[in-house]
Amino acid sequence: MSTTKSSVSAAVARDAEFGTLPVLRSERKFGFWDTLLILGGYGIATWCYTQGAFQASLVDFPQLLATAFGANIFVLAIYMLPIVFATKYGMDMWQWLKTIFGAKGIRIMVVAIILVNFPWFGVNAEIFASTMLNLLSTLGVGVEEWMGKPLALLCIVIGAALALGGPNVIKWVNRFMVPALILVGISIVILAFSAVPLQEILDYKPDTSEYSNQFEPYVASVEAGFAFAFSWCCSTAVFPRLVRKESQGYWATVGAYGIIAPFFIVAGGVLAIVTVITVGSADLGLASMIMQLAAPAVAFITLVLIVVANIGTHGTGTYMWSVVIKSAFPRAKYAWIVAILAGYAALIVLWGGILDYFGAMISIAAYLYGPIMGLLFVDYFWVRKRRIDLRSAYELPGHDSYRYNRGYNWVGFLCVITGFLASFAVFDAISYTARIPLFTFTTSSFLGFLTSGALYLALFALVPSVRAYLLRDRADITV
Amino acid sequence: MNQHPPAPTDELSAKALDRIETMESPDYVFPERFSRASWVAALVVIGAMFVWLVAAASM
Repeated sequence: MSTTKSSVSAAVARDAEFGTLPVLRSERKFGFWDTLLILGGYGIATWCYTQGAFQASLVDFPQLLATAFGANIFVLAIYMLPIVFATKYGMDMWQWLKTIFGAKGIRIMVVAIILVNFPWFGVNAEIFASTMLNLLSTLGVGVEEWMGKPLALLCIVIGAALALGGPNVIKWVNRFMVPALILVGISIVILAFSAVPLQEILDYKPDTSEYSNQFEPYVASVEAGFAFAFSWCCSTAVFPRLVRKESQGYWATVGAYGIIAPFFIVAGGVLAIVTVITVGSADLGLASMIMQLAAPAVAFITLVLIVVANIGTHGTGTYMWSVVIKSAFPRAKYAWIVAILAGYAALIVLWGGILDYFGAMISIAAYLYGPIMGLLFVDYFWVRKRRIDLRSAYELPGHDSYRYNRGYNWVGFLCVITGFLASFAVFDAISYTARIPLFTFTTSSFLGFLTSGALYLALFALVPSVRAYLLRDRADITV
Repeated sequence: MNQHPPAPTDELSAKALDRIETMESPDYVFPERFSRASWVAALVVIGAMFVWLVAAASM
């Protein structure tokens, strides 16, 4: 047992080290198609259908297409532009972000990002629970509503156990999870587009009576699309650092998260539309919608695949974020990190409101993601002019360009907080309505992107002391 | 700039330095850069998606 634990710890430490060290060109193994398929497989987790159902509650089918594909591609195509640094230097985002937040400040950002991102796994566990309830009911097992929480916790426990198995277990999990997700996606697409005549889908209009004008629900759906696109941001350097050309990492990521994932968002949205048309309501959850619309055998198989996929998603996500935390906090014990993440997901499940507040979850997270990516955009193109002091980025002794004030860059924190507040000021993520008319023109998450970036650029360009504060690294740039 | 910084004290830093020095060698060839065609295509895509989002508001 102790030998197994130490081998897992060693494997995780190797992965964390691999995730931290620059990947040399000779070590690059991926091209465009590999990256597109791997990221596409990761991107089509079952939460896509929840996203689609949420957006379909705001807009009709033509606008669903625009706010799924258009919004995702727009945001990704912009914020992925600076990520080409990951391909050049073979390094992950966390090293570059030290230029913005400081060598120690980045740890605060890692924790903050995980706090706002990990609720996705609460969504995942809830989908697992409702799917299991439907499956058990199909098998003739008497189910009660109270069983939902223990089942959701079961998903978290199994996922955590898989993560504790280390990278080899996760590799095997993905060999089942990705095909399962693809089959679920195919099943839902066929189901969604064959349940009713296409004209009825095209004629669908959502009930948006709580909004004050016709544009607000549309912009709310755009905001949901933007927020979904931003939610990938902190993992978007992972594969570009492993590809052979800068354009490959860029286009594969935009393609996977901007086209493949939104395809399944639209499928989920159409599934919800069809459910409204046939039973009058889409507030049923993914599993219940499938049970309503599919033949019993098809429904059963699809639900089994969803269960497999949800467990795999939780295990993979826990593993990936645990490795990120281990990179930022090398001395932390991997098992404790997994346990803490499981505990956090469990709290979300025990609260029980994550699906009811799905829109709030994605947009509150985007209050933070938008500003971070705005800062990165400006830092990469204007402040650093696409070059970084690698020795300071890796905190080598004697190289402290990114230590700033005891490890914290207060300019970066000022700008990210300002962007966060700007997002908050224009949009109430709980009720999913605008606070002020500016939201209709900017959305919330994109306003945060613009505000943080603009403030950072203005301070850099107009305040000499800030410029000097940020640019301590220029003499040490070598490549 | 510190001309003679102290050597890295931990294994990870030593590995990082080794890789950085590899990248700094004149023989090292960086991955192919983002081409002009990709830049143009990216800007066209961004512009087209923006137009689509604005146009869809009136649908």
